[in-house]
Amino acid sequence: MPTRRRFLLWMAAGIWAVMLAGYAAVASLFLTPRPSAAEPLQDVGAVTDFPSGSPPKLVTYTGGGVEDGVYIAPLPTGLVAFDFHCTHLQCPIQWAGTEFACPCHGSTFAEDGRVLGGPAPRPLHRHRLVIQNGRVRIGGIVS
Amino acid sequence: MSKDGMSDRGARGSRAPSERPGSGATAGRDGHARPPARGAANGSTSIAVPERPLPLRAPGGDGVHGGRPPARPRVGYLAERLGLGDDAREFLHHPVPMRTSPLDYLGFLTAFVFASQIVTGMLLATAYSPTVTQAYPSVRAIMASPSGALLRGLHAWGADALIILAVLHLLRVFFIGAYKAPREFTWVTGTLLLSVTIGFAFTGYLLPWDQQAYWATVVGTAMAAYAPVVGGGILHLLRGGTDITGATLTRFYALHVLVLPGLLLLIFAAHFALVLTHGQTEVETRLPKGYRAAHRKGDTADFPHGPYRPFWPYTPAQMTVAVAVVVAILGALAIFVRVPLLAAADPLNRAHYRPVPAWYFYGVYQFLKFLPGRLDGLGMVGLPLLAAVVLIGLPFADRGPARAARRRPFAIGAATLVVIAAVGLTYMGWRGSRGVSGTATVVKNPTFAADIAPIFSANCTTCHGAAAPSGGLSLTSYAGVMKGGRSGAVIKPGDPAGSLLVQALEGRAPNGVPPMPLGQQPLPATDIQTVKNWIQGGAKP
Repeated sequence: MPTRRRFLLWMAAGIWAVMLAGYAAVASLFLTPRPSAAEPLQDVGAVTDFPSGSPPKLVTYTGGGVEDGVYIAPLPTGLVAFDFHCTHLQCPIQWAGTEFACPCHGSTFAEDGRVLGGPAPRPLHRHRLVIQNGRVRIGGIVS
Repeated sequence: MSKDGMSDRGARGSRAPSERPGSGATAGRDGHARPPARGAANGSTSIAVPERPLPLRAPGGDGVHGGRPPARPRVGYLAERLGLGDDAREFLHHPVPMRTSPLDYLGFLTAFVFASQIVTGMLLATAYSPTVTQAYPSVRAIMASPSGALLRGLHAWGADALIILAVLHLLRVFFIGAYKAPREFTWVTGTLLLSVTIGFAFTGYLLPWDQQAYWATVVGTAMAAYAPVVGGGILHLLRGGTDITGATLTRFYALHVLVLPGLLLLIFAAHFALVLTHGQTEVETRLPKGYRAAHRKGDTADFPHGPYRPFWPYTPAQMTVAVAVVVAILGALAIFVRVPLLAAADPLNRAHYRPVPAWYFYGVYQFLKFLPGRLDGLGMVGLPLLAAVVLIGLPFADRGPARAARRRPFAIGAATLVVIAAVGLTYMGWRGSRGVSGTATVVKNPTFAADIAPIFSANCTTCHGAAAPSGGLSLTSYAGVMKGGRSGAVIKPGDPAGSLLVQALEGRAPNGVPPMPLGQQPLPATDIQTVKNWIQGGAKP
C-alpha cells in the first residue's frame, strides 16, 4: 500500500484508539469506588461500652445510605471490629454464645475471627477501629 | 438434492445473497440443498414452489428492463416509499414446511416476552424510585393498587418466563443441530442474549429492596469475588463499594434500564438479521401427514407446493396462538399468584432472615454444598466460565455436518446429562431452601433413628455436622447428640423443658444461644413436640 494511505489509516486508527481509551479511562475512574480504608469514621459508642471479658457486641451506624454494622470484640489485645458478613458468601453471621455462626453454609468463627469450621476461606474481615477521646470510631474494611 | 427431494432440505426462507430469486442457486454453504428460490428453474425437483416473475429492484418498476414489467403487481403506498415492496412480499410468501412444531416458535416467544418486559418495565419505571429510602415504599405503593400488582406480577413472572423460554430455545436449537454452519453466529449472538437476560434478571432482582432482594444480591455478588486476581475488583465495581448500599441500587438500576437494554437491542438486531438471512433449520424427518404415501404413489395433487406452504398467513397465525398461550399463562400467574414482597431490606438482618438465591441459582447453590470449601472458587467462577466457553465455542468445535440427534450420540448424550444434572440440582436446591422437615405429625413414642435423626438431618446438620460442628455439637449421631457441645449437655433425659436443645428450638435458651435453626423459621410445633416426647421417654437410641 502506498505510504501516504497507510499513514492516513494508521493515523485514523490511532486517533480512534486514543479517544476510546479516554472514554474508558473516564468511565473507570468514575465507576471505581474509593478504597474502603478511606471510608469516613463513624462513632459507635464509648470505650466503656465494651468491657474486657464481655462477648462481641453488634453496633450499628449509617454508611452509604444504609444501616451497617460491625461486631466489636474486646480481645486481650484490645478492641477489634469484625465485619458481620461471613467470608464465604457474605451471609450475615451471628454471635451464637460461644462463636460466630453463619446460617447459610454453617461456617463458624472464633471470638478472634479465626475460622473454626465450614467453608469460609479466611478469617472474618476487620474494620478500621480508632479510639478518640474515649469514643470508638469505625471505618472501612482493612483486612 | 436427494432423490425424494426431502431428506436433506435446507433452510426455509433462506435469503443469502447468492440465493436471491433468479440466481438459481439451490445449495447453501453448508452443502444442504435448499428449496428452490422462486423464479429459479425447478428442474427435476419434486418440491414445486410456484414460480413468480423476477422481482425487480428498481423503484417505479422501470429502468432495468427498459420498460414496465408486465406482471408486476402494484405495491402499497408505504411499501413503495419504504422500498420494501418486493422484499416484504418475498418474505411473506417464502415457503415454510407444512408440518411445524410449537417448539419452532420458542425463539419468537422469547422475543415476545422481551417485548412484554419492555412495556411492563417502562410502566413500572414511571412509579418506581431507585433510592435506598424510596425504593421499597415505591414498590409497596405499586403493589397497593390492583393494576400495579398485576403489572409487577407480569414483569416478575415475565422475567422467570424469559429465562425458561430462552433456555428451552437454546436446548431446542442444540438438539436439532441448528447451530451448525452456516448459523454459527446466530448461535453465538443467541448465547450473548442469554447472558444479557441473566444480567437483566440479576440486576432487576435487587430493585424491590426487600430482604429477599438484598440478601440474594449480597450472596450473588459475593460469588464474583472468587474470580482469581480480578475478583475483588469486580465485586467493588458491581457494588460501588464494599457492601450493598445505595450506590449499588443506583448502579443496578442504571444497568437494568439503560445499559442492558442498549446491549440487548444491539445483539438482538444482529441475531434477528441472522435468523432472517439463514432462515430456520428444518427438522429432517418431519413431513406433513400423508405426504410420503402420496409421493410414493406419484399423486401429490393435494400438495401443490410439495411439503411446503407460504409463510403468510399460516406461520403468523400459529405464532399468534403460541403467544396467546404464553400471555394467558403469564396473566393467570400475575392475577392469581402474588409476587412476594418481604420486609424492607435490613442490612443488619435483625430478623435473622436466611439468604436464598434466585431460583435459577439454586443449582449452583446446591452444587456448592457438594464441593469441599477450597473448591468453591471452581464452582462459582470456573464452572460458569467453562459453561460460557463451551456454549460460545460449540458451533466452531462441533463441525460435523450431521444434524439428526441419532447421528450425534456423544453431543446429545453429554447435553442430556448436563440438563438432567442442572434440573436435579435446581430441584434439590429448591427443596433445601424451603427447610423441609422430617415429620408432619407428632410421634408419640419416637425413636432416635426413625423419628429424631430425620428432623435433625433436615434442619440442623448443615451446621451441626460431623466435621467441625458449630458450637462443638454434632447432631449427626446419637452419641454426638448425647455428648453435647461446648455449652455442655443439650439433652436431659426425662426433662424436655430443661434440655438446652429444646430451649434453643423454642427460642428461649440462656447465655446468648440464639433461637435455632439459626436464621430460619422455627421448626413446626409438631417436630418440636416429637423431640420433646423423645426426651420425655428417656432419649433412647
